[in-house]
Amino acid sequence: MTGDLTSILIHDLKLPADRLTDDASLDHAGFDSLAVVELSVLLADRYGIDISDSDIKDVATLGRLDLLITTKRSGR
Amino acid sequence: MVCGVGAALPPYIVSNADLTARLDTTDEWIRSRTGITRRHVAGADLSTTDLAVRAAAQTLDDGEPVMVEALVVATTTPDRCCPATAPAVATRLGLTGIPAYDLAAGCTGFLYALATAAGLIAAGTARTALVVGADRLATLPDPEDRTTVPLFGDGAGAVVLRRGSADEAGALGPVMLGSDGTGADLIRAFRPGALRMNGSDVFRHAVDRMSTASRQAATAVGWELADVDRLVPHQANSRITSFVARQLDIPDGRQLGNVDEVGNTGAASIPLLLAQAASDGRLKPGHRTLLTAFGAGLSWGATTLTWPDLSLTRLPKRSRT
Repeated sequence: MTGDLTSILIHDLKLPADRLTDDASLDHAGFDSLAVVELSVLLADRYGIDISDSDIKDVATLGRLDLLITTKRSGR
Repeated sequence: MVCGVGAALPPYIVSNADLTARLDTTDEWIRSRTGITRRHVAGADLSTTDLAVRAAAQTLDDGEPVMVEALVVATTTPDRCCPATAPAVATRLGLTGIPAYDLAAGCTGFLYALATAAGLIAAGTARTALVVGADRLATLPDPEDRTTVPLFGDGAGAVVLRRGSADEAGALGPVMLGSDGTGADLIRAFRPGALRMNGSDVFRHAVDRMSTASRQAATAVGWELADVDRLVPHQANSRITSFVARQLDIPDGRQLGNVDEVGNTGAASIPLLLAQAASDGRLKPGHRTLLTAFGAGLSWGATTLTWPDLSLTRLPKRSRT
């Protein structure tokens, strides 16, 4: 995972650092329904990218989430 | 300007353990998503009018009765459709004859009421005004709905306003208010026991509106957000209030909260928290204080004041009859 996503998950969403691996599911990492919304709002504020709650919920792993964010940020 | 504060909570407490005994939920689920551990519930014993009277009486209970010349009660849960709550509250306080009316703006009701009461004073209608937020929000959820029942509690809070000058401690800054009826369905209850709420969208709107209104209210009085000593957000849910504080870059230690002990008490939320924090020392004279709220409507608002030394309050006294 990139440092940006790791930093948001640890410092903003207060998720446990030891669970944040590329192959961890969102559930395993400690996401609940509000954390999904919190992440969506943070990504819009910080990077100006629009990733919906359902887009976030649909990713299988944190690695996939990171890829989704990186792709959106690069405008591809 | 603010020159008195008071609060009232019903004595009956419902803990998370009480809720998990009858709903399919857990203490951990409730605490992690809302920050709430217990709430006070009025049940059949106390009406919204009763709670409003108790909170208002506390603001006036400093010896001699104060000459209050207007009363605004903010509530979403009046005891009846008609007449309004406020005239009955005024009469029970011995204030029969003063202008008294209700105002409904969801959980933002207290800030709307502050703005209109300050307007009554500016217009010369009154020199002093009581502003009460009183709600029994625990009556709104479907009793079987495990996602909304844990959120709400009952209570009331009140402040006294008097005419003053803008440079005095206690003077309110401009009250920034807004509404958006396109979000009317996000929090709605066509009758008690039938609340419907879209939690994700409410979260999104709440953090956006409270953050924006807070910045506007601070700018309106020339404050930087770094100048704010105490953020007093409507106590909806600790996840929302923490998120707002982070958006505003206000450290946790400067954010006041009591949602863990009272839940979401609607229009009572802000004055209840002010009264508790002023009493326990978390809110001190001289603190630059930022109030913000969001609620059904959608509605939102924010304002500022430097917290006054309430022991120095001087109000016109009413002769005892």
